Amino acid sequence: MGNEEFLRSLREEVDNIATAINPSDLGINLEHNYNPQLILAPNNISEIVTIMKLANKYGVSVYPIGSGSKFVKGICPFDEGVLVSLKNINKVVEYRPDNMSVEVESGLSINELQGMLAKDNIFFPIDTSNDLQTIGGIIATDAFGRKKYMYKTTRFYVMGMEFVSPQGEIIKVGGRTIKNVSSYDVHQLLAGSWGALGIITKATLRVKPIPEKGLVLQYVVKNGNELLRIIDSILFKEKLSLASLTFEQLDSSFLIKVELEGFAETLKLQQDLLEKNHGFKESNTNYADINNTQGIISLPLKSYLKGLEKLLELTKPETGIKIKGNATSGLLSFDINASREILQNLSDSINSLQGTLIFENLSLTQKNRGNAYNLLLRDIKNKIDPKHILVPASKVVRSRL
Amino acid sequence: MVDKRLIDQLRQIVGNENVLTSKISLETYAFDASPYSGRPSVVVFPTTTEMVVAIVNIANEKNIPLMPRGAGSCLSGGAVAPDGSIVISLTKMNNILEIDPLSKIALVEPGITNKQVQLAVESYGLMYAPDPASQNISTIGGNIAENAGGIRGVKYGSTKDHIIGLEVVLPTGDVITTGNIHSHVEPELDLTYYFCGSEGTLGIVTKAWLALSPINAEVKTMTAIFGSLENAGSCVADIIAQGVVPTTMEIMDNIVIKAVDDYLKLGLPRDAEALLLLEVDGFSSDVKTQVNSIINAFATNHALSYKIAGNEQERQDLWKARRSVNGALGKLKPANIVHDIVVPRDRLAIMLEKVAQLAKKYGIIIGQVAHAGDGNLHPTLYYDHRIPEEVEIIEEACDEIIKETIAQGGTISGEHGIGIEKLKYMPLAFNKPTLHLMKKIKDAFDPKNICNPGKLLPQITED
Repeated sequence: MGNEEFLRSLREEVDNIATAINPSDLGINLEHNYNPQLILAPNNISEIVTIMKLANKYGVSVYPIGSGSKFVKGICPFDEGVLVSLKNINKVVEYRPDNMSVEVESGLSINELQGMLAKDNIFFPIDTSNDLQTIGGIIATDAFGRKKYMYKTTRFYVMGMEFVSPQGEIIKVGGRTIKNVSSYDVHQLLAGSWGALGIITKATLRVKPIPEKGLVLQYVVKNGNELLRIIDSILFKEKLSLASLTFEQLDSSFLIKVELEGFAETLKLQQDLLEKNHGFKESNTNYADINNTQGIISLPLKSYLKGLEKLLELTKPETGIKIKGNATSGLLSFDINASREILQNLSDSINSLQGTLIFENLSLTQKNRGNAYNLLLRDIKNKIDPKHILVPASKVVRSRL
Repeated sequence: MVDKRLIDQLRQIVGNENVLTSKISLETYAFDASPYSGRPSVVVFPTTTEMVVAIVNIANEKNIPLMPRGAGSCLSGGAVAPDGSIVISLTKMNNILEIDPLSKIALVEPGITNKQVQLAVESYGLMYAPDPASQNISTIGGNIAENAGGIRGVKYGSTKDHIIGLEVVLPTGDVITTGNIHSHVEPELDLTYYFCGSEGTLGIVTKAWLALSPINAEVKTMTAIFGSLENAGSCVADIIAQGVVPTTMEIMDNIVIKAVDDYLKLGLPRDAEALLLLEVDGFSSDVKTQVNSIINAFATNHALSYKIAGNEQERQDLWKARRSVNGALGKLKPANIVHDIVVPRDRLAIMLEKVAQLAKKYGIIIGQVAHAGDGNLHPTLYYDHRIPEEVEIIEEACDEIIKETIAQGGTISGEHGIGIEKLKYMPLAFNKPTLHLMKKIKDAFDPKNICNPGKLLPQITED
């Protein structure tokens, strides 16, 4: 309801706001069952405030969006409401290299941020696979990259934030200092909220000096047993400046890559050791994409080898299984021709290892978070967004249970 | 008047031996390490999550305030018992439930001390990185509630950087488990980090999954002295800008150097304006590279001299001065206030200078120690609490320090928290809609406002 009135009032209050009917007009690709009635690309933060206030007044749903690369993962299909693109909200607000901090608007892409920082030999440690992702998007999804083992996830680099609340207030929390215990870390609630608690407009990020050296080594093992042995050794036994340990299946053999980051002299010693002990050689080939597969398994590190063993047991001509993995992130991914029984069996095993199995976007394992947790999220949502204006189709925060 | 029926109910839950009601016990649990105190009505020592739930349910039913408590070492009044409250001391829930050296995770109960965790994981070649100065007594639950920092904070961050999940009894009596302990592939809103630093106002942590870090092969400690605070401050900024991340960078000013030297007779350079203490860790080749960069920064910033500890004994000697600061400063005047402010690291030198100017302006003694590597200053103001004029001047100087901190782009607390002490500064640090939003979220966690009421959020008038 209220869409026309909403747009008319918006036009009265805002002079020159870009609108579109089709997400692709703004360079966003969404699946066909995501159908906003209108798309807006505000030019500044006060326009977002106006949008939220009017959306509350007329009962119009609002969906903030960055590059759109993760949108469908956290939000159910919908066919109403307004999509608000942050692409024009993309300035660098305050860059303080001597404090290792940078404040940016949320529509800035990770690519542009890294480009600016690199001039001062500084980087933002989240190595997302998609350069176009926006800062707002990676915070809202608490994104992490291949080197999660070394750098963890985005939330740990957010020191301060400005966001527009679901009721259209500008909220400023945190700050630009490394240490800060001045009241609640509301920005930690927004990080990983998938847009449901506020529209992130600015973030102050902690950045780091680029390590003196980065190095990728590779080695091909002939079979699964060898793979298990090498992962065990590198992940759990050797003392390394380990950024990532990944592998991919090539027919019956496996290509393993070890990524090291740190001081040059130390890395030289570790390189020599890995060459001597296992036969690793320096690599300059690209990384396999571990995201676009049918199945994804996430495991606690201590059960990683057991989970991998289970997958390897499925290596038979009829399954045609192809396995890839990021051991340091506890991830396994695979494509398979599998029967329902095989998948059931696999999900039982992964469950018993306290892991998660997602197959063709459906979770096949049980998560026993309990109802109290979801009720609390609902209560938070209802307090700050009583009319359920912001991302009502969220998969993460359900306003009605 | 204490409600007899309440006491009986509590005794049934936790056992007679785990309920304190005597006047002297109540007085003991009325305060923390700040100057404030309250009047609790009873102290209980639950030993299981179920007991905590039962206590919270009673409090809910009768609308009694709750004060979850660890060691009570809070410096800002966060653990001061509200009047009429039930103090829930978690110190008897102090077990280590699991150490998983492969995933580098420890699952512990909240009453265990930080130090006990360190000792337990050490044999696996691991450490729990946050190491607050109070680590011998402060508990993990308290560390989480206050988001405690530590000496190694420059490199390793604070408590929230090392927590991966929590079991929490909410003020409604519901129990939740937070965290992506075993998986991070499904979209989920993780509440873990909102509990860190919430000062016991959102619930009672009953279990915590801690992320452990490998103990580094080598540590190198060094000190340098400078002819001005400004040079020491820029040296810190230079070291950070060069990409070296020491575990520790501590600054002491001339007042502190002299006081410590008077106290310990260490032969410190009494006319030095600033002393910088640094520590780096890593593989031995890492340490070598970092030490070289730091020595360069010393030279660029006109350090008068520097020392590197050659062995553990020499390292302890270098640390001795820093560790004795509180004892030494206690000799200067009968009373003191330790401030806890934090500025961007590029403003550290300016802020040290501004505080020194304020000391001159008000004609008072302010000793300055700072966790320089993270921009966290602890100016200590000395006075005689028996002289009302001195008290007044000190209060005025404190307010001015806070205003200057905010003007420099800093914030009102780096590690001690808001508690009661800094409630009055909250409206300086946050706009009204932000405070309102925080209150709404608090209401969602604690609809009856029974969990540590009166802390962290000031009274705000409804629009």
